Amino acid sequence: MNLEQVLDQLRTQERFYKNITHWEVVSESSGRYEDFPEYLNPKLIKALNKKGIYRLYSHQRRALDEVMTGHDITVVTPTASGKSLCYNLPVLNTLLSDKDARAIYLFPTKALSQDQVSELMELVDDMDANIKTFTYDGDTPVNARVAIRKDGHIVVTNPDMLHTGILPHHTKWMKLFTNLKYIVIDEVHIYRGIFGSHTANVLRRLRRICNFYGSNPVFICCSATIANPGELSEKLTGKPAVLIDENGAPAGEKNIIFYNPPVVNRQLGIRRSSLLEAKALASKFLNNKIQTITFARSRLAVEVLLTYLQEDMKKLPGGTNLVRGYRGGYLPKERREIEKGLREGKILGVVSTNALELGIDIGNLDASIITGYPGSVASTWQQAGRAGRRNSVSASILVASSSPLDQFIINHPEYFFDATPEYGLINPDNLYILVSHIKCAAFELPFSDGETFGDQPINEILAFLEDEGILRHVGGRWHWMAESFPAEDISLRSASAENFVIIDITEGAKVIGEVDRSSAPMLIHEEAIYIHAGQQYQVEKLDYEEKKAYVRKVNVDYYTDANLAVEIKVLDMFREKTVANSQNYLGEVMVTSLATMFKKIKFFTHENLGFGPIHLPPEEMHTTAYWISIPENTGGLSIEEIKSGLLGLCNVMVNIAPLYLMCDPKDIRGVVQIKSPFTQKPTIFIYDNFPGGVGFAEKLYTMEDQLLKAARQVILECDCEDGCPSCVGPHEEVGHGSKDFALKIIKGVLSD
Amino acid sequence: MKLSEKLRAFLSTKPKEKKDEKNLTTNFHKSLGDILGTIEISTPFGEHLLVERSYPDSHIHGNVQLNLIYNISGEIIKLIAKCPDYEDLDFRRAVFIDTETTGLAGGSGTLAFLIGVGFFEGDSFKVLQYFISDYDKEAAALYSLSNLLKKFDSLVTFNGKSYDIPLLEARYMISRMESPFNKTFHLDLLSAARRLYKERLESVSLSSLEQNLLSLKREGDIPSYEIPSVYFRFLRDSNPYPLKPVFYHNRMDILSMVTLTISMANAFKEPLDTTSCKNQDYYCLGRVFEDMGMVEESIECYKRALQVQGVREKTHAQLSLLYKRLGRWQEAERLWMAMVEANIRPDFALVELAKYYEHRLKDYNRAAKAAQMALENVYKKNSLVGYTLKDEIVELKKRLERIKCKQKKYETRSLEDHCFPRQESLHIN
Repeated sequence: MNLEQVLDQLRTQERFYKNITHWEVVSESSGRYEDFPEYLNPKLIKALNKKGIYRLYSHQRRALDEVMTGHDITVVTPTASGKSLCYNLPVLNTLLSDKDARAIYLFPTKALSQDQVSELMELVDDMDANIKTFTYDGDTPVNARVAIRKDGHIVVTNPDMLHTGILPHHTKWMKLFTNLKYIVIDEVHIYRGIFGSHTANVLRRLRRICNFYGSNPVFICCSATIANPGELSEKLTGKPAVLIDENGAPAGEKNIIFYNPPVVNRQLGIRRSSLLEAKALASKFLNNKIQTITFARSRLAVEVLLTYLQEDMKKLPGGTNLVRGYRGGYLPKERREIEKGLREGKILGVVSTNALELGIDIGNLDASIITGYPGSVASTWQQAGRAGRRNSVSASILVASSSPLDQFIINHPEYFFDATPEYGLINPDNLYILVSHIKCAAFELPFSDGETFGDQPINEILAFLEDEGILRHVGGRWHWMAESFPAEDISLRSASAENFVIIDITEGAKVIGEVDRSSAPMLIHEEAIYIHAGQQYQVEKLDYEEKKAYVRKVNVDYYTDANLAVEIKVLDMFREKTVANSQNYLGEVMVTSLATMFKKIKFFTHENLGFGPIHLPPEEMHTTAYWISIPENTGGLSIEEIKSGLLGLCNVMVNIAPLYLMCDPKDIRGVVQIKSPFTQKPTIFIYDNFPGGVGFAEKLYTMEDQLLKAARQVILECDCEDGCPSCVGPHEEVGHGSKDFALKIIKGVLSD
Repeated sequence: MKLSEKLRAFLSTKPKEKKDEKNLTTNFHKSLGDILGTIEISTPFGEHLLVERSYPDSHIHGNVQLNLIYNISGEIIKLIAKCPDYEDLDFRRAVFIDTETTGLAGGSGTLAFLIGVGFFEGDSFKVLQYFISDYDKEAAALYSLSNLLKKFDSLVTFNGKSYDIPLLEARYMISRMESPFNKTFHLDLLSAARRLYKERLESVSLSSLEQNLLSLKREGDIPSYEIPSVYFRFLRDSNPYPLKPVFYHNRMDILSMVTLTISMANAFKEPLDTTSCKNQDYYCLGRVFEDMGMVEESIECYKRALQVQGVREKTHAQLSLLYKRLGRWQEAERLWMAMVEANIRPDFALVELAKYYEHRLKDYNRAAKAAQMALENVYKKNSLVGYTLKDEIVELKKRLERIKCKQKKYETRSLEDHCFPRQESLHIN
């Protein structure tokens, strides 16, 4: 059977069609083309011809024209639309005529940079030009580094390396910085949250160094589809950019299918495993020789799915080799081999984490199956985009898990297809992050009086750092005055460098993972059962000072659940407004959390098997929060009822907020106060789970009643009887009747 | 909440009580000259401080007289630098440079606050120390240093190629001044010392070399790692006393560079008759001589090292290979035999013997025997170390097979001719 026939079967076989909640057909579109501009170097045209390219897509031409006139650009196009030419064309065209010109390419991961370098090298080889492209990252051998600094025309690297390896040693890179014409930032949508806020500051430092050497490079940014690509890239680079978001690449017909596994336990709201359903669908495609990529959310899920599918493939000629796994932790050589196999069609199926979501070249496949909502509209489109050829039909199937977010999306396809995708949010002025990078910047070059950092006046921060004994103010300049190397203590990927290390001492001592500081009291208190890669471990000792947890493998029939007492104190209110019958606020808070005790809960029956105390100091975090207060008498509910309803509503709001924020559900947290000392009323607080905040609360504040309305929809449409993890939460946690009370509260607030 | 309050509340790492540190500052500044011997120098970039010391060139530092450096011939300098071009390096036109910095990690935020420069002038050896008493005095000091360096065409440093000079170049760049370090020669004594003493000495740091080669004991010195904090404290409280040992440390480093150069020159000049060189050093010397094409000197040194603990094995191997390369086959063979007998890397020696018999002498009987013994040896080693030296076994088996093949071909031709003359000595204990 070909793909069309398989799709027909899905439409007609009850086993499948009864689970399909939506079937969207995106009709094919023809491409919009433009000729090569006259100014384009003939060598470059020749090389493109050699690759079978005789004209450009309209967005490529526009990108080229804008950059060549000196404008910064942000290109937004879907997967496989010839995005890399948008930056390679202007860069190579400049380098062909100016031998001294230099460019930096930034990619969020190492794997991506390697892939891009090989593509770029091919083009350069075909031009027979002396343009040297080098990857500069942690793996670059020391003896190659000198040559890269002097002779590399295009230096391909990542923000982390720029942060610790290049900027603090800028004098060694004088040639690069003096002649820097372009900075290419691919996959801009990845730079959000903490990572994006850090990277924005690294780029502020980069621009400061360029300024010192007298260069003013043009930024070329590329992003997947998000709600605010222009805003995000401007915040990231600190410069306005021309937005190019009209895709000129042709595309074949595309079927996007939403699939919800059947309910197996209505009371508990439990559905059939999304993994097993995804496996059944993938098998169907693969058995019909349809090239298919299956995405799973965790490394473990990838391995499990892979095992199932390989078992199924045994009977086909080629056998288990037809389906391969792909994820972080595989060796680069193995990855290259799989990518090549996919491009050449020798590999029929691949099971991957989101590692293959980004621009790694694996050609275009016929079908993609997404096991579990990837967490954002943008990611889903990226993963769906892996299936789709220029001129034939393709299919993507999203298989929902039973998490609230998945259930919301699968039952509200209009959110996915019609509403704007999520916002990529960053907060470059997060005080903690900003101060960290001001230290790094002062190390790189002393600040002068009155100098700004990005657009931030920083005199007060400099004075503070002088007071701390880190800077010295003399002769109108602020000099670094410490022995330490500040960049080394600052990780771009986490809010603080303070993760707890988990050490397995079953045999010898082996580090198996890390837990961030704020989750540590909940997950790795002594006697906690910590689950890692499907294996249970018991925490034997938590060395709080050294940030180490020692665990041992166990096999028990229970898990542990810690009670966390969270207190929230408003430090400062920035904004306040009335929305319907509620009062909305944005401000700074101090969150104090204290793990008090833990329960041992038996698997399946959820019996309480006992409990124990937790002796850990309280954790304090200063961050930004959004809070909403309601009148005490809302819906005519009693205090107890209000409490139960608010707890449920808070759970739903926190769970679906990622629909708008492009963040992980654990990046924000909620707290309920029945009579808040600040508002004197029942109040829900939702705060950024990062010191200083990264902009989530701010976005929630601007959403008016959108979040409440979405919450209502989730609760109304959930099939459970009295609250389940897919809506307000289990009634053990929120109390009986929470579902009903929450709806009454929303009704009281919105009065519609 | 105001920004400054927030910063103090959430980001301060300072212990809260200690606040009045600034009050400690008394007016030490006037006495800086008395205590450190600094004088103020004016430049178009402002003022900076300088300490000038002059030693007679007959000054003895660590048992060695400074002016002996004039006796070092171009031939010897070549060997110290392990580079033929250095023949023309003239120590009268060279500056010895050493810096004290605010951090060892490097990077553009590290300042060289004290730059010591030593050079010969007339019949004295001068040490100038450019002191940057605060950040805003750096440009002036760099300017003066740059002027001084114009008079010289060579640099001598200890680890300067990877540390001091790149750091100073960065400082010039940040001050937007041209780097004065583009010199004909840059002799880095650390790499020279490492080549020569790495086998004998556990550490080739300057202080280790001083103790072991120059029998020098410093008095009133300060350990290097304490230097940055001393400087930072001075910036805060202006008390110059703790800086005294830093200036001393820097001066001693410069003087030691001179005498270390002389000491190494002696080793190369009279390798067999000097106090600068002993035991394991002979292997190292041999390597330098060999690399520089001085075969006879090299062989002499290797012979000295043949029985020295620690380098015995590599000296045997190295010397035998040198003989082989020179076509001095008999000496090579004798050495390999001796190695087998004394159980010094016998598998290496046996393989070399097998190659020699097979390819040079075309004596396949002896070649086969040697290869066979090598193989047995590897098997024995296997049982000792407990893991399998698979590659070596495969390699040896291949060799043995090939030899046997040749052996068969020529069997008819020469049977009894070349039996193994020293068979008995070739068994393995």
